Amino acid sequence: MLHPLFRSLNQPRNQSDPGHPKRTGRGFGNFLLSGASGLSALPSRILILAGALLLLLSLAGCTQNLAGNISGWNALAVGNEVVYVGTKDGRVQALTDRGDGNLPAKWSYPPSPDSDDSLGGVYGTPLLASGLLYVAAENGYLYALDPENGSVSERGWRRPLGQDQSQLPLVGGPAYEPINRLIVVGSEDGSLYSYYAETGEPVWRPFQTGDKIWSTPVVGNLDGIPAIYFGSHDGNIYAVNPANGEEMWRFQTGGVVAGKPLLMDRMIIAGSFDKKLYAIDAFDGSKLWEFEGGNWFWAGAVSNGTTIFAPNMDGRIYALDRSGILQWEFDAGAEIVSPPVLVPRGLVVANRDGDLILLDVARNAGQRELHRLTLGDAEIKAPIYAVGDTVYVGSDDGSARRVEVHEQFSEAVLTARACWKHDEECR
Amino acid sequence: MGIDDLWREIIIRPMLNLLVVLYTICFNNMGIAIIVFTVIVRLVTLPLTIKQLRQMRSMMDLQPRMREIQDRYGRDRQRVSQETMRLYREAGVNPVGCLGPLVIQMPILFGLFRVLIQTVYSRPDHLVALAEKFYAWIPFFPIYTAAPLSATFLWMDLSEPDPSRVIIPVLVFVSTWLQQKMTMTPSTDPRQSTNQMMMLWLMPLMIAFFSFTLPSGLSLYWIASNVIGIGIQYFVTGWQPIFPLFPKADPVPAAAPSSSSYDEPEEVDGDARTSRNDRANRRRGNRTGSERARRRPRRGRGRSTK
Repeated sequence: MLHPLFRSLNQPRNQSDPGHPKRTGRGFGNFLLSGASGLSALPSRILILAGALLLLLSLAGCTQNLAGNISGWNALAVGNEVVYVGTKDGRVQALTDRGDGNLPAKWSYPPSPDSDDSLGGVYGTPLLASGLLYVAAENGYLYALDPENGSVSERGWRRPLGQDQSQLPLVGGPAYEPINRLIVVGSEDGSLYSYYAETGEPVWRPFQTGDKIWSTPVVGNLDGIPAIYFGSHDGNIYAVNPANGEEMWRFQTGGVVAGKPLLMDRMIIAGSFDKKLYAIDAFDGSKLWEFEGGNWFWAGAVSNGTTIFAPNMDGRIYALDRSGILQWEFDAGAEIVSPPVLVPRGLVVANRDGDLILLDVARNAGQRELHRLTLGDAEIKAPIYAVGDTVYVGSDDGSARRVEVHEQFSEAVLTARACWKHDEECR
Repeated sequence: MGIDDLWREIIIRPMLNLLVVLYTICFNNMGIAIIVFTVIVRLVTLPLTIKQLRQMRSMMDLQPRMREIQDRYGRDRQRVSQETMRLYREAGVNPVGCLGPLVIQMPILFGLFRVLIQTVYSRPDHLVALAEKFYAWIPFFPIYTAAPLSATFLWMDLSEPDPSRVIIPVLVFVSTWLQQKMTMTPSTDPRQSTNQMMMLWLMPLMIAFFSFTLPSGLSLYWIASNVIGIGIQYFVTGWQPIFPLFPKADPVPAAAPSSSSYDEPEEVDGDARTSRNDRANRRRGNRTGSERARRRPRRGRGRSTK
């Protein structure tokens, strides 16, 4: 037997035609058809226009960066008048900073971007410690470079993290533990690795968490008890003993902990993707307070000793006192992925729109934004770096800039003084 | 607001948030979320699908009259097209109306590609881009804590092509072929019929080839969409359009379903015989076959409307 819907489809469309009998079918088919028949009343031109618009939108979707081929965030660090940039073309670039308008290249590792030794990109801030420059790379290697010449063969070393040859990327930066002279770094394989800073020899068996680690560890020494604090995608904040790599405590949050924790007094301040900022007792891992923001807390918070400045992906900076009470908040206008830095004149915040904003943190009310400097169209996601009144910024366009905070007509302003970009003019 | 903003606000953000909400409902399983998402998309586009089926049905009904036009004005191509358009107009058929669901599918496919990249690729940049696309006003569903989303489903990472390299492409091919076979409109034009046969094989092959390189989440959407399409088509026509599985590129037998009812299978053989005669007659330039072909539909239509 013919299905009712098919029978109804066999009915003539033109019901007014006396030559055709009226539709008599019932059931699901007719129900569907009666609902659809209204569409046929729409003029063809409207349908064609709507179709063309959808096609145009589809093409617009195609033109965007489909592959998402992104290599790090152009993270940088500064020491001994040299700026070290983990470039997006997979190198570590050393730039001489003499305080003038130039940032001339000093060395790069590897020398060519097309080299097989390419780092793939750098997300976390490079670390200068123990006479070496430590860089955690997208290719899954931890590099210890000679800061003078970028060599790994003479004084430096490099170690693949992971148990096999398919190393997972390193997103968080390395941290130095001075008592045991360790370098610790987390990997996307969920482990925290430890190496002797000078030799690169592994120290303890990797500490295993339940998921990826993007968080840069922070090292503390409270009352003579050293500890390494970091977060994981499994939602936990961990405290690990640097002497033996054993867990001291863990605290469960409701989401991913991707940022670098802040050690303040005897508290660990860490944000989570559950939109909350947590204050945890650094000794036993118990919760002291929590504060809810508008979106993820990704970037780590900073503190001037009395106030905690916590950036949020809702584009706001939340200023909290030690008890977690909100003092003020400031809308930066776009998501904040890069942790802010404190300078003598205030707090410098970088947002995804490429703005660098100087905030007055001293006043209790009124105009908080002192100055805003837009550094082109490129996003700023890498941690910015401050040395005194100078701020160094690595942008997504592959540039590294030196920005100075200074007085101009009795007002604090930000001015870009020097810029570097590989093989391109930088403005 | 530029075209990129329109694309993001109209396609990407609603789709992304819906997918993440479904992910939280479906036990944090992206595979199930994509299948449920496909069901919703097919439900939303059901009126268009039904319209498409109706247009196809009407086109099939018009085949005898179109053949008549071709027989009458065969040498005058312009006249043929004028008369054909007039016929479409009179019958209220839009020849491009069948493309509606396909056109709707395109932005959904492109959008889903982008959404899959942004949701299940858990690189830092993708997550940064994800945070700004969430709707903060969605209550009850913990979409913020859902990220980064797990892309694992059965043996696949939905953000990557099928690691077996066989199962998903074969499923894509078979489901596309079946769907196309069931919805193919028979044509009286030999050239068009040959083209249809080519499309019947080329299209599934092409899409299966794409599925080698595209994220398997996209292929999962395509397979689920095809299966639902086949289900809808089954309600309409049953399984008959699938058979014979591998017909030759012969335009005349294709017209048979329009004239003969599916509930009278014994007539199919007779029609097929007639069609073969008809083809032979046409080669000889004999009008008798055409006359017979012209009469058949009226008979069939009369029966089906009893």
